[in-house]
Amino acid sequence: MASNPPYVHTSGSVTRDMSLVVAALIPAIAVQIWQFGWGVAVNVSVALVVALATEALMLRLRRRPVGVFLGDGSAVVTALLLAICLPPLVPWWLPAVGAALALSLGKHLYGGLGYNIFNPAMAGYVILLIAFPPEMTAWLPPMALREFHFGLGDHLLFAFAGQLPSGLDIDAITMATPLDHLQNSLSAGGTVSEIMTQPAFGGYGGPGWGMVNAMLLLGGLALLATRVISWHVPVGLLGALAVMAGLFHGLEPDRFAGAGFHVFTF
Amino acid sequence: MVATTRKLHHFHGGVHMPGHKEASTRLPVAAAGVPERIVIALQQHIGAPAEPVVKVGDRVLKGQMIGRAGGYVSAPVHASSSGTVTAIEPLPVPHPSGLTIPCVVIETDGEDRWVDLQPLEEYSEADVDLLRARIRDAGIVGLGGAAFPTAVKLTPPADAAIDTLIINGAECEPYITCDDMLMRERPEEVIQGVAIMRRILGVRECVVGLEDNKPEAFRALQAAAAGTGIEVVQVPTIYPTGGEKQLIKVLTGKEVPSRGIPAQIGIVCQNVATAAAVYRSVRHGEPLISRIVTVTGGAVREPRNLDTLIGTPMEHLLGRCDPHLTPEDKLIMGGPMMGIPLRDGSLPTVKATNCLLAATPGDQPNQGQTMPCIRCGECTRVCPVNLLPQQMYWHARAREFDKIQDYNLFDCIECGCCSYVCPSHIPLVQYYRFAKTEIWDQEREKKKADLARRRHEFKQMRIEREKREKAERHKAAAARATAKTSAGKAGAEAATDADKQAAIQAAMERARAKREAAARAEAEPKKTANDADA
Repeated sequence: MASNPPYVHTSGSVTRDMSLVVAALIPAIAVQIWQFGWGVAVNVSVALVVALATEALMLRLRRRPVGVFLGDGSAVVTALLLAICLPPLVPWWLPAVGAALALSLGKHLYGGLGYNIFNPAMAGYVILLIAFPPEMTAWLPPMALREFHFGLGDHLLFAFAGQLPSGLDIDAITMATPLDHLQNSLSAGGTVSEIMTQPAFGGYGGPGWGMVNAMLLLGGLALLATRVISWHVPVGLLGALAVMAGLFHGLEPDRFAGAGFHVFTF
Repeated sequence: MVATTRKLHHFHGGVHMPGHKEASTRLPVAAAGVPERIVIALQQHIGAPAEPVVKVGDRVLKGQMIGRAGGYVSAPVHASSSGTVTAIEPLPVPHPSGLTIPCVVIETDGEDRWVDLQPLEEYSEADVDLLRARIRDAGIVGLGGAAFPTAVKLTPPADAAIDTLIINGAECEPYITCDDMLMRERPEEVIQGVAIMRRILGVRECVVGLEDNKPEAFRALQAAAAGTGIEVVQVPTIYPTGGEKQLIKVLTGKEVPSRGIPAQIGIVCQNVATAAAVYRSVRHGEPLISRIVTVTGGAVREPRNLDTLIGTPMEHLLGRCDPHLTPEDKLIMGGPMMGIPLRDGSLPTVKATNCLLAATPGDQPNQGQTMPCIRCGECTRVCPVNLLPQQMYWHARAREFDKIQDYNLFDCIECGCCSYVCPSHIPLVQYYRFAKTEIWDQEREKKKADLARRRHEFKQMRIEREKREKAERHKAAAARATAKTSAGKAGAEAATDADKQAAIQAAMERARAKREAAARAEAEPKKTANDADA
């Protein structure tokens, strides 16, 4: 019990904040699984297991109370953030390596919870992107654009054994994300309005992708409402993105996509 | 009745929290009675301690002065009941440091006999200086918690044009209801006291502010204030509205400058209980020997407010409220946000004792493990002074006391909002207190070092001067000798041996005296330097 004032406290805790962040991510993860398949769930599971194991190992090496810090929920948040950024069809070691490096290099080498200068999940993501570009840029198309069935078994088989169902080829069934796709098509000489008529686009951010981002927006609003976050960073980031995209789109609509597309795609 | 059309303002941050005030307002204020032993601390105010004017064995009467003010910023203390002085010695008092303070111990005789009081019927026409003198002699200090001598506060500096008197009845801290009950039961005393202070300060605008969780007190005060021109205003309930600077902001929209006092913006702020004490001292001549104390918390079955003689042991108060303390419970003087932990119930009440909180673990919810700062910024959002608690925390941890002052550490009012909301349960206020104490220590050390340096420099200067003077004396003597020689060689011839002997003797005497003086100076550099300073 506190021997100095104040002797009272809100029900707030690090664990509560992290749990709310996890809760705010759940709708987006569910929609992502629905739209992009069980591979997302496989990535989330692998990342979770490896993240928690790495966290425990690092805490032990640093002689910190393992139970207390494992219970704060921050490793879970890192695992989820990393997993949902990964393409849905990747070998198991990709989320594993990403999670392990996120927790060890991105977090504990800086001093652990609260002392990391980069977001550990994003540090892990950047490491993966630099180290394994082909794996990191090949996305399964969202449900609406898919011409083949890909079940949980197929995902597990690919993730852990590297095998695709017979007759399917990895290059044939994957595609770039809309953002990548737009960039490639623009370099090839297309105009934004032409490119946007392709099936990977449409609506806000393209089918599937836009929906996931809408769910993330919802989660963000929930975090604002529960005062886990303040509006300054998200409004600053998304606002700057929207203003810059809108400005350039207004100046040269053929070369630059609009604000709505940029904010809602990935 | 004055219409409450005053435009209210907001201060930054603050927190809403459970009030826990109902429990102690169900019963009317009762007299706590006369304990067998009363311990009056000679310092229960900001400023110089009082000097005892009684000795062991003296019989004292209730209201008799037993310690006179030890300076301008000081206050006298009085016996709160009649009896015999049995000891004058340092004893533990409620203070965060746990230090002992010289106290006068009185064995009461149970008669509770007053000294002759000098009432003042026509106080509303009395001379302002007389009013101030009565307040000063009554030992009245701010009863809101800071215990600053009231007469000093009612004598603002000549260059401060005071135009507003604000009376603080906000009582924002959870559990505490002593001001609430005072306003409900003795609203006339409060209003009369306010009127006296208004007259002393010569101000027109006079506002009593209280939080809107005290509707009974509000109605009572409004009725009492009818026709006086004193405005009674309800302000939103948000902690820490009862902070002097926060209430001033809410009521006037003005901000007290950093590290400044309200007088700088033409405002004097006094607490409602202080106002009532002012009235009793001026009208009835009663010194400040009692106050209302809230006794509450989960460890008493009958929480209530008690009219308490200053110096009554805490356990005497507890005993009046059906206590059931267990080893897990904690005694706190004050509220759960800023209260001082008491090591046991034997400590005496002081003028600043507004509440005795017998807190069960249930009264201290959500105690958690301290975790690293996750930079969520919640502390910054709630800080009522608009400071950056997180930055101050890092600098306090790193002992960067210059940098922490750049973040205006000394404007921190230690309200505890930042600690209250910190998800990592970091005891932030303790870090700030630590930093303040360290800085004060460093300043003291620096002053000491400066003094030592000045002393050393003075000594060097003195040695130089003595050398110079000696050289000049030698030169003068040589010149005289030359003059003498040329003046009368013949006469000089006749200089007797006796003369010569006398001169040698005198020179030796001088040399010895000088040696001794030098030795003394070495042995007592302090004295020499002090004399020089003086």
